[in-house]
Amino acid sequence: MKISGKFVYIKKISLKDALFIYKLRIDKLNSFFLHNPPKSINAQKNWIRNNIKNKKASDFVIIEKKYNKKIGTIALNNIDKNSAEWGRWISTGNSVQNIESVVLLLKYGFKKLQLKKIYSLTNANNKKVVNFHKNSNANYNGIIKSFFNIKNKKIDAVKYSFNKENFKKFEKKFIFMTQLVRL
Amino acid sequence: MKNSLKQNIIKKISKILKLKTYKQLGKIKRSQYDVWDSLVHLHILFTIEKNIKKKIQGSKLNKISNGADIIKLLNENIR
Repeated sequence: MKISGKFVYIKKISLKDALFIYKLRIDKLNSFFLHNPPKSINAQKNWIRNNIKNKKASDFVIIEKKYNKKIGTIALNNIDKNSAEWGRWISTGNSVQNIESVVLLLKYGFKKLQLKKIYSLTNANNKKVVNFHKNSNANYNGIIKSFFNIKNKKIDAVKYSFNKENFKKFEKKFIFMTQLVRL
Repeated sequence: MKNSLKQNIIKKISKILKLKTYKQLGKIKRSQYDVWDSLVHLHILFTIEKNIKKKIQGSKLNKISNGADIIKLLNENIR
């Protein structure tokens, strides 16, 4: 399955993406705020195999349209009837490509899955991503103490959520700004 | 006139970046400044293009990684 935007498209992950995702996750710069990366490509492949069977998750690879090049990952997980969590967002594209990947994922969640709420739980130390949520029109839902256990450290999570209405505002703002700026 | 346009854009960008004074702009780096996320970056690019009313090459916009790059870009495009 492929969901296409103006600058990027997102497609469901497959075993063919194992090497790309593995490299992305072991990159020191990308993995600073993440859980421990997989120990090998085979471990990554096993994770993908299990993930494909998991009906509560939809993981995507982000692909730059111009060069058909993979630039990152993004996902919905803990999917239930009305809500899901969005995350596993690692994107090495430019600002426009990174933001559009979020727009496409949320569109998939609200339109295709008919969700009512899509929330994010971000490592509180990842200030840049916390600021992204703050600036995106998402609702602030508070801090969950010691939510993450990353590299044996308890870390707080910051929760933000989108409903259909504030997502539409976010999407509209993105479309408006990218009409002028073309990267 | 051109200098005031440049100053005006710098002030707008400083406000977007929540800087206390516009003079700080030349000193900040995107990688080290948490306020400068991808949405803020897009807002900055939008502000530049909207105000100078000129298309800037995508490759030049992509290279902006600090405040000094913004000032340089404005100097090159507002003459």
